[in-house]
Amino acid sequence: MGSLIALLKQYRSELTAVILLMVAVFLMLAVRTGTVTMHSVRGVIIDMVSPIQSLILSPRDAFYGARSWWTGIENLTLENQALRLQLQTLKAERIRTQSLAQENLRLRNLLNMPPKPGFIRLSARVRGESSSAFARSIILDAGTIDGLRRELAVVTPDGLVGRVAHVSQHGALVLTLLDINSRVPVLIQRSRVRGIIAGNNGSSLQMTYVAKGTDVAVEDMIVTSGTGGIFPKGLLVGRVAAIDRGGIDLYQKVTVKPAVRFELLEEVSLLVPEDPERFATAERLAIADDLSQSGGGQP
Amino acid sequence: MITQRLLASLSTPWMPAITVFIGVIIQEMALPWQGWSVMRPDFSLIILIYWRLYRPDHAGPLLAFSSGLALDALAGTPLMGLTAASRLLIVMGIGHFGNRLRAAEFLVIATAITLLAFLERGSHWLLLGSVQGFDARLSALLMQPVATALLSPLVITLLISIHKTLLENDVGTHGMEDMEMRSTLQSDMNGQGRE
Repeated sequence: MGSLIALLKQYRSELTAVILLMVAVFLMLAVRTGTVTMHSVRGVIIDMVSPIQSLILSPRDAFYGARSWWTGIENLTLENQALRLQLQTLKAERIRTQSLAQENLRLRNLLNMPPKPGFIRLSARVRGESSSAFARSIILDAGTIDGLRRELAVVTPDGLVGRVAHVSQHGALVLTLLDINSRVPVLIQRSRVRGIIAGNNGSSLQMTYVAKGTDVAVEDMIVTSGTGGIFPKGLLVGRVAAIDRGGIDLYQKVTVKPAVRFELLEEVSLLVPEDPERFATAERLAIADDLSQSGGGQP
Repeated sequence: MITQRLLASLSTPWMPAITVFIGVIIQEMALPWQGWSVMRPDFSLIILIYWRLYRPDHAGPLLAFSSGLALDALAGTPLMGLTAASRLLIVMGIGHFGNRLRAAEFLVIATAITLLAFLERGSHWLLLGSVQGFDARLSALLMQPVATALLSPLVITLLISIHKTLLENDVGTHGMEDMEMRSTLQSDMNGQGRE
């Protein structure tokens, strides 16, 4: 017994390493990243790291704030003049828009369709970005305490960023469109052809399930289709960069350039449906609407 | 003064772990530079290798495993535990071959760090490829080890400074003893040369 203990003490480090290696292998084989336990594990780690990252980045934020304040003052006079001119034009535009909105409402009532559901917009700063070459995710500094939850759409003024995959009290992990595990139902704005946007861990996106012979052209705008229950309809995803119609596949290979520059993200907005049930109803109507416009047959 | 000493004595054994986790946090930070996205150095790997070489008593398998797991969680790695496993293997490897490396010149250590960074990324690529396909950011895959190699002198200089200021009095089984032995050997050789 004594010799066994002595042996264990002698090879303590090796033994620990072997046990931990077995734990790591078990985690890889048995634990799926989407389970509740894994969400909480990731949540705890994100919660621990997020405040420290904020602290480290605070000088940068202060510097950026001061710089933008200074630039703002410099440009204020010029901007003021430009805005005055713009205001004159917009007054006329506003009247036109108001009449169009009224017309839209009238037509919606006529079709007995509910208006597009409202979303509460939450803002968050990007604190972390995946250093891995095999995943494209970002970490936000807002969590459940700020009203975030899983499966919320993350956007910027340029377009769609991704969706919240894991959320903790003070942080959230966002799966960006570029991630290999990201799938977003989309449609081509011009022709209403449907497809799925998939990431490949690179800098471009692939639009899949676009049948050969369907109307797709380079520079076509890709927007979310509103199906799937996560993304509202009409969010800009990107533009068609290349189309490969060759090969014996049933589908075309459509490469899409994302609208958002993922490596330069600093702040994002999160779209929280005001009434999730209403959102689901609108989503069902969106499917019916698009199927009727595209003539059906698309996924 | 007593409080300072007490704090220093309490934090000293944790210094390798603290620096490794600071490395993890910094490398997972988002900076709005395109270069950072591609050429991001693996700080935690450099720090882990350094402490495993020179203070193995404070940088064991548990530190390698926990830092790897933290990286997996923060980077959103599809296979949780992948980096933890590779870091464990690196630490175990250094445990076996570290004696030779510890006495080597800095250039050899830097080359070893680069090689280990490439090996780690390569093994991840092969393993993840079998699970989710071989799509990866090739630019990051190739450039990150290069960035790690380029920044390793700076990081190691910083670690030597931390080592000398905080862990000099806390001489472990390896590390500073070896350093002292090397410096004695060096001075002896210089003395013989002069004679």
